[in-house]
Amino acid sequence: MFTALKAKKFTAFNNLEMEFVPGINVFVGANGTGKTHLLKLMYALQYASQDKRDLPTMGQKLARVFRPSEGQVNRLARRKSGGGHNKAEVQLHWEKELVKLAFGGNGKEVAITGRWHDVSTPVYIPVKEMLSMAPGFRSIYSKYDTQFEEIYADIIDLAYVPLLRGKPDEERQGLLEVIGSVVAGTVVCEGENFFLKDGAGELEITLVAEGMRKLALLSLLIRNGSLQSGTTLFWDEPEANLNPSMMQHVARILLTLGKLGVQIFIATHSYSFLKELELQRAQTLTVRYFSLFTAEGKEGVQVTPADNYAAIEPNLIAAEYTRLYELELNKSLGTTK
Amino acid sequence: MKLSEGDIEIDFQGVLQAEKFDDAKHGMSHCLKAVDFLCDWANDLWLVELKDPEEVAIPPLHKAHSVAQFTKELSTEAYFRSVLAQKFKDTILYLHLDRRLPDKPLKYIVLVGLSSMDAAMMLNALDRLRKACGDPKPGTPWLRGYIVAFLNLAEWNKRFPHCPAKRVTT
Repeated sequence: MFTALKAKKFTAFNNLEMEFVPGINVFVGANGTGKTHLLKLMYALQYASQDKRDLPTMGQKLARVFRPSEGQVNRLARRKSGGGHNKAEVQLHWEKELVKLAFGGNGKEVAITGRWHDVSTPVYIPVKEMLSMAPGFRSIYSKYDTQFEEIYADIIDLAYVPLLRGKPDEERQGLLEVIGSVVAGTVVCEGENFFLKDGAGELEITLVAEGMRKLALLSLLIRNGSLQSGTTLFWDEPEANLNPSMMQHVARILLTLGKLGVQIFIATHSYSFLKELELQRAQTLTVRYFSLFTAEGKEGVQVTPADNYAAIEPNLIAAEYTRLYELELNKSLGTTK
Repeated sequence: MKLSEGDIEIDFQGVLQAEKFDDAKHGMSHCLKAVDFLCDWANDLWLVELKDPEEVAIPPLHKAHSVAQFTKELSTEAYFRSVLAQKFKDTILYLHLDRRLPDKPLKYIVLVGLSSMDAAMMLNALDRLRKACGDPKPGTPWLRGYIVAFLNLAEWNKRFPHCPAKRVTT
């Protein structure tokens, strides 16, 4: 599992240091503070480190996941104020093994030192739902030079992985039942098309509510072994397309996955999700929040870690509710002097 | 003039008259509920209800239960309708029949001593209190309206620096 990250002059970050927990790591912060960049960075490097043939290099995977102009990874290095790019350096710890990346400046090469062993296939669930677009997407992606970030093609590949043989163990079965009750059915794949199957028959996935499709995808990933002990889940904005009342289920699913040994990285803007996570979490599972923010007089995005919701600082989501509460009170009581 | 309920004390400085208006005093508790304090200012009349599940006098063993119980009550529409709004309406009725309802703007203020309530929860509680109390808007047939507010200690002190509220730990 990932244990620590140091990033210098990488995209929005000037000098970033983070220590991760084995359970759930949550990135919060305003738009443009680099939450998705962190998810993509770790995902790309883990993906390229699997013990498989024909994998792209870390540099190639970074280019396919971030899609910088003309595939130039040096464009991911922080820009200098007078033009051009700095030299970026990334150090990422997978337990005791360290991988170092250096790129940027004038060169186009990515220098890599170190490697990780026994790395699983990472799962990245993007903000956009992809299950409904799966038919035909892979052939288009492999044939044409498109600007689709590779996370979309990767998640579709994982959705098409055949289901594991045999019955799932008790905990996974419990998890699947929770998801099944929320999405009201089981996802099945016929040819390239996905359907939601229930007692009444099969419903095309395109006719299922968009938010539900992502939960349906999760159940597929659990049933085909993509999400099991030792794997990593990156999920960008799990709240997208879901009513806040669904966050209790999302939090429960993620906490159970964490308990099963999946290391989880989340980027979120959702108060409901954060509160649910905090209210439902058991002390045995580690949860760490990372508040990403810019501060006057400091270059690049800063980070402060917190091990409980109340300690998140700054907390823009809470601040927004305070602003709204103040506005409502002003309506009743007038403005404060 | 200082009034206290549990271990929260409010110093209503410059008030014309401030009084505790509890059940025992008005003698109609068999049929009417009552707010905790009445504060008659030069320009308006405040009806103040104080809820303090974190009261220091509550033994530590029971405090978690008290807080949990109150949080649970706050999550129900019935609490806003049958407890908080009812106290407000019954108090107005009582004052009217007692010919003590002045022709001044009315403010119903619920003050809550619950540190775990964040702004999102306070905002939600304010909306629900307004709904339960009727929240008269311009265009309603009534000639006089009233306003309601749901505050914690910090917000009270920010809004009303002339009558500071504090926890008196004894």
